[in-house]
Order: sequence, then C-alpha cells, then structure tokens
Amino acid sequence: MNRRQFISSIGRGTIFTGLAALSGVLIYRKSKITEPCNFDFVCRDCRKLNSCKQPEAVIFKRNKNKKSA
Amino acid sequence: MKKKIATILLLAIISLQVYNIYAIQRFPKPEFESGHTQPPTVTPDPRAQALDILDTFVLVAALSVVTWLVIKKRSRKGVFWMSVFAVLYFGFFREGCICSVGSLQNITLALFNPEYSIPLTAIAFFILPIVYTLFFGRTFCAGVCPLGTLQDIFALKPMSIKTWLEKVLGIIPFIYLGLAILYAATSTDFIICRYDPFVGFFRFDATFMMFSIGGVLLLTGIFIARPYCRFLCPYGALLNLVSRFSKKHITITPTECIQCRLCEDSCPFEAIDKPVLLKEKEERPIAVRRFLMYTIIIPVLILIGGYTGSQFHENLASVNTKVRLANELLNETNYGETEQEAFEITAFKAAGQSKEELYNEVAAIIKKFYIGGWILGGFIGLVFGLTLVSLTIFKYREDYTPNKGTCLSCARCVDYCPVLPEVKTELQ
Repeated sequence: MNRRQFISSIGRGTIFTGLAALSGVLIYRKSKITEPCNFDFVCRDCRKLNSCKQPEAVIFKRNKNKKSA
Repeated sequence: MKKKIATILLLAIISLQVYNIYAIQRFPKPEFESGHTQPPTVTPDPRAQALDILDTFVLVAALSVVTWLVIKKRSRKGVFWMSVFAVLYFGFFREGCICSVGSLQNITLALFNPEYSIPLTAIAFFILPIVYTLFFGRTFCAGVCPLGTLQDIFALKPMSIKTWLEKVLGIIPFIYLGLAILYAATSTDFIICRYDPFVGFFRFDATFMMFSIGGVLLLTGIFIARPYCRFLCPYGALLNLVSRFSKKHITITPTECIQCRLCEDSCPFEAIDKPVLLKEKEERPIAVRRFLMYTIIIPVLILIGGYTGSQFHENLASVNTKVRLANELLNETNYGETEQEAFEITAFKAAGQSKEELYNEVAAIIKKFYIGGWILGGFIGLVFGLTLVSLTIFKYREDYTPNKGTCLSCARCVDYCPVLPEVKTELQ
C-alpha cells in the first residue's frame, strides 16, 4: 500500500463511519418521534367527520368526546 | 427477443401503477361549503408503503446491476439500457420523487429540525448511492439517476470546453449545495426540488419557466454533455468528493495501457486525465512555496466569504414565507389592487396570531440566516481556496486514467480501448 492508497483508505473509512453514524442518528430520532397531529383543522372543518373511519378521524372524535365529557 | 423483454418490462411498470390504488390518503380532503375547489398539488400523490419498499429494492438492484456492468462487464450498451430503465422507472413511473438529489434536503431538515419525521426511503435514497460511490465510483450517475440519464440520452454531439471554464463552472454546484442546505436547515424551502428542471417533464406538469429551463438544458446537452450534472447538481458535488476515495473505479484499459491514444477524446465529460511527462514537473521548492502560499490564503478566503455571506442574510431570508409575510404586513402590501389587502395578510389576521408574535419569530429566523450566511460564505471561500490549491498539486501519470471525481462511470471510453482483458486459462 503506497501513501496515496493509505490516505484514500483512511478517507473511505471516515466517510463510511460518518454515513453509518448519520443513518443511525436519523433512524433513532425517527423512532423517538411521536407524531402529533398538526392537522386537527382538517377533521374539525370536515363535513364527513361523523361517518369517517380514517384513524385520524377516530382519534379526533375520541378526543372531542373526552373534552366535552 | 429484445422486443419481448421491453414489452414485459413496460407491462410490469404499468401494472405497478395499479398498486397505487391501495395508497391511502392520510387525511381525507375536506369539502368547503364556500364552493372553494382545491388547487392541484405539484407533488405526486402519496404512494403505498409497499411501493416505497419496492422503490428501495429497485434502487439497490439498479445500483448493483450498473456497478456490475461498469466494473465487471465493462459494457456501455448495458449501461445505456439501464439508463433507459432509470428514466422510465425513477423518472416517469415514480415521477422523480423522492430522488437522491432532493433527499439531501430531507436529511438536512431532519438534522436541524428534530420534529421532522423523515421517511426511511429518503434516508435510503440519500445514503445508498453515496455508499456505492465510495466503493465503485459514480455508478449512480452513470445509469440510475433519472435526471442524469435523461441528459445522457441527449448527448449526441458533445464538444470540449476550456479547462479553466470547466473549473470555474465546477464551483457552481458547491454554491447550490450550500444554498440548498441553508434553506432546508432553516425550514424555508426545498430549492433543489422547486427548481428541478426535469421533474416537470416526468410529471407532465412543468410550468412554462421550468419547461423552458429544462428544454434549454437538454438542448445544450446535445453539445455540452450533461450540463446539469456537471455544472449545477449539488448531489453530484457530494459524489464528486466521495468518489475520489472510491476503492474500485472504472479503468479505461482492462490490463495495461499501450498509449494508443484512441480513448483520448472519447469522454464527453472531459473526465480523462492524460499522461504527464516527467520533464513537465516543475522544481519542488517552487511548487511547495506556491502550495503553502495558497494554503495560507484559504482562511483569509473563508473569512472574506463568511463576512460577505453574512451581509446578504436579509436578502437570503426574504425567501422565507414568514419573513415575506412580515414584510407584507409592515408595508401593507396590496399587490396593485387598491384597498384590497394581500390574501396572505387576510389569512394571517383570520388565524388569530398577533403581529408581535410573528415579528419575534421572524427575528429568530433572520438571526439563523445571519449565522447561516457566515457559514455559507465561509464554505464558498473554502471551495475557492481548495480549487486554487488543487491547481498547484502536480500529479505524475503514465497512463490515460479516468478522473475519479468528475468521471460519471458511463463506460463510453472502454469501447475505444483495443486492449483485450486477460483470459484466465485452465493452466493459470
């Protein structure tokens, strides 16, 4: 292995480690995020809400009932 | 036989479109009592999760096949047909989204905004081509990137351009990269996607301006091969850097170069480094002195660039929608219609947020742009400095070799080499 190859393999190793760390951080962060519903207004203003079976609509209706109770 | 394969391929792609029926809108579209109709979206409809997984598998398969065709088979024809497949699948079928070039912004946003939940496909589309480039060179650019392959098909009469001009234009992708990162990091905009000149072709919905820019780039590409890849693509700038460390890279000759010079002008991207005669080498002390001088200049260029960038922070921030809204509120913009305020102002007033809250938010955004301006300017100064330094480094070469950074691994040059690969006999 000459000097140029040595520098190249060091660079390659560094980039590869960096990419692995980046992927790890992003996947870890993603697993930690509990997505809050920022689109309440969609359900609130929707005329089809009563009959809607979408998961978000079900949650919205449940929360709405809790608040009113 | 070829026709049959092409027909099967086309039918397979069409049948996959049917699968999109199962994609579910996360939120049903609301119906407005006022009779307002929703404008058509500029981004493709959401895809079924299974298709997202399939896309990642297709990406890995395409990268592997192109790498095999380039490194092992050394087949230009194979790379060309993979390019056609990439344009059809990643371009027209997937409507160019998510593409690796744009995924760069998703990654930046996810790093700077912890609340953003990045799709796994975006991570895969960003990381995988870089990993392949790290080991095998820019095989992604050769036959998987739909933006590059579309231009490649148009490279019919490539001409050479001056080396100095190529060097100067080669700085633009780094500036574009810096800007794209700045705007994604500040959650302002995804400028790569907004100003993607070819995605409008894939979706058949290009605005007149983007259609014109895309058309001009494709027409320019007839004479100056792949202009977007070489002088604009920010992801290409990243791959250019990574490819310099690649373990196995395409070689022009399969064994030893016989200096026949047949490949000399074969590369439309001028990515072949010619042999350098030993007598051209200048005296070492002079070269070292110049190298040191340019190296000392780098921090100065970074500082100058940083200061200049910071002075433009307000101009850079004006792209941000909140900054624009604050400006409209301050100036009571009415867009020419007297006594009719801008819709944005009406919407803001209806939302119930106070002006002070908005101005505080905008002040924080402008502060981010001030810091971002310093970093962006410093980065551009660094690129200028490194370009200067690279001009002083003497690399002695005996053979014709592809430049690892700029070579797009298209395998055109291998067809020009008369040297046959060594055939292993039974005795060996």
